[in-house]
Amino acid sequence: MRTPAEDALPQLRQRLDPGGPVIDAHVHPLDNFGGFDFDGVGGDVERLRGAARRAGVTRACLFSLHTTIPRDPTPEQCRAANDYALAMRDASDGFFLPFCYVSPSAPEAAVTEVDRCVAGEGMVGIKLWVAQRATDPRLDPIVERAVALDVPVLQHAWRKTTGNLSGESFPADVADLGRRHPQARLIMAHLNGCNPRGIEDVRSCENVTIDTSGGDPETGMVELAVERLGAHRVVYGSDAPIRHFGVTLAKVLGARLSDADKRRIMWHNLRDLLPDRAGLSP
Amino acid sequence: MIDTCTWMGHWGSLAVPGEPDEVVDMAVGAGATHVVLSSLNGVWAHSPHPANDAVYDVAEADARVLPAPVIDPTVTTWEEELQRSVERAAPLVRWLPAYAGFEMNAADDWVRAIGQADRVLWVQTRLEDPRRQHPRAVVPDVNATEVVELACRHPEVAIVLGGAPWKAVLDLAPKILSLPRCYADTSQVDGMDSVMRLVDAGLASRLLYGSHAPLFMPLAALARVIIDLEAGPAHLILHDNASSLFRLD
Repeated sequence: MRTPAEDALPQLRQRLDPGGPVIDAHVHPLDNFGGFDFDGVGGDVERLRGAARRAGVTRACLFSLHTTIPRDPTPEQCRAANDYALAMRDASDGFFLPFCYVSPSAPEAAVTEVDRCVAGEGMVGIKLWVAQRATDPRLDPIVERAVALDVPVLQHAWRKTTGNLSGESFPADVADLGRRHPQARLIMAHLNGCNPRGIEDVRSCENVTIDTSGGDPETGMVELAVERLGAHRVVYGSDAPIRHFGVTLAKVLGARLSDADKRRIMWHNLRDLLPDRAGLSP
Repeated sequence: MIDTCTWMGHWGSLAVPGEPDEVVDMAVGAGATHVVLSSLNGVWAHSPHPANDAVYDVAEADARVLPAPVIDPTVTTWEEELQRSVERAAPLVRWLPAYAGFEMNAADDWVRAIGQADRVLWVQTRLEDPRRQHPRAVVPDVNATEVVELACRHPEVAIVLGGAPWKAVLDLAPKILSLPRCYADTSQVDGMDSVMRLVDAGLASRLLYGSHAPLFMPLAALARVIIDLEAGPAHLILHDNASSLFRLD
């Protein structure tokens, strides 16, 4: 027999129902982060996808940063990381949509890897992390290739009081990249890490969208991003497994926004940024 | 459902809805029936004690609110403030050592007094991620291990490790479980499956639901508990542990 308290749990869970499909813009394999026990690619898929689905996430953009997560990976490490992400896609019935991870430190090799993974293997985006700041001209051939192949580029960014890494982009660096490549579709990662100043840094760059991942679930940040950038320039991201799918999704669900704007952030905006082969209709 | 970690007042580096009714509405909106409330207004004051007045006033006017005064043992009259917590039936006392400038290894007399006053001591290890604090006002985290070591020296006192990250809580699980009255809150336990992993480590009876509202969103705090857990451990964390600790039934 259920107690009254047990009866309350389903009602509480209803508050976290996203009410429709959700695509997460920012997920890493367990192979990269978190100290989880899992058995190979299949185990990685099962546990990561299971946690996502419990929170209501129905598709997820995935990028491996290599099992050793080097800050400035070699082309070989990028290739191994991308092979892992492709294997996760293939083992997940398309739940995971892989992005191609490359380092601007070796731009020619990066473009070759983009051609292999995006043009050849059907990856749906490009991921840039902390090898070089987004102001570095070595990013230019990579972003030009992204434009040619019609895929977005997700660029890590943060604005740390305690100091960024040497190759870690500030939001203003992403704005610089956006101005250099007005045809590119850029996703700046980590809304909470970029903080209100970072939102202002990219405000004038219409081709820069921001993902809601990173940092704590601070009150008012998603609303601020919508107010300053417009709801069409905000996409849901978790940064799982570093962060919890449901905690990060609650940043959107709990925001003082219209249901229509929440739907845009959880699904429509990213669907529109990704190529058709991602299969995200309607 | 008891939200053991909420704050009213102003916070300089993040515009928060900190009026008491706003905070209570946020917590209740995520399902809380009781709200344990402290004031942010005293955190950066030379003495946090005057800011407790408003907390007591709110608790007196709203039966859902339980007062949790912030007490700083470096203020000469801290014993008077502790006595006030007893007279005003505050179930716990919140201590912010990083803001008070007081080391754990010098805290034994203070903790002993808390025990003699029959209060619960909540040691807040973090209010805000140092990476997003204002650059002119950076406060480091309190070492979670030192908090649990303090609890080991005073096993008779109920001590809550507040605001610690999940990995620190997980690493400290054996020590926490070896103590009869040591707890941790979930307000800053983030990461995939994080609360589930703490429960798997045996901590279901030692975790307290906390939202850290209004700095953080209560719905997010609720998510990390109820999405991954079965009803039994979820109820312990959301209600039963705090109810027992604060003698609410």
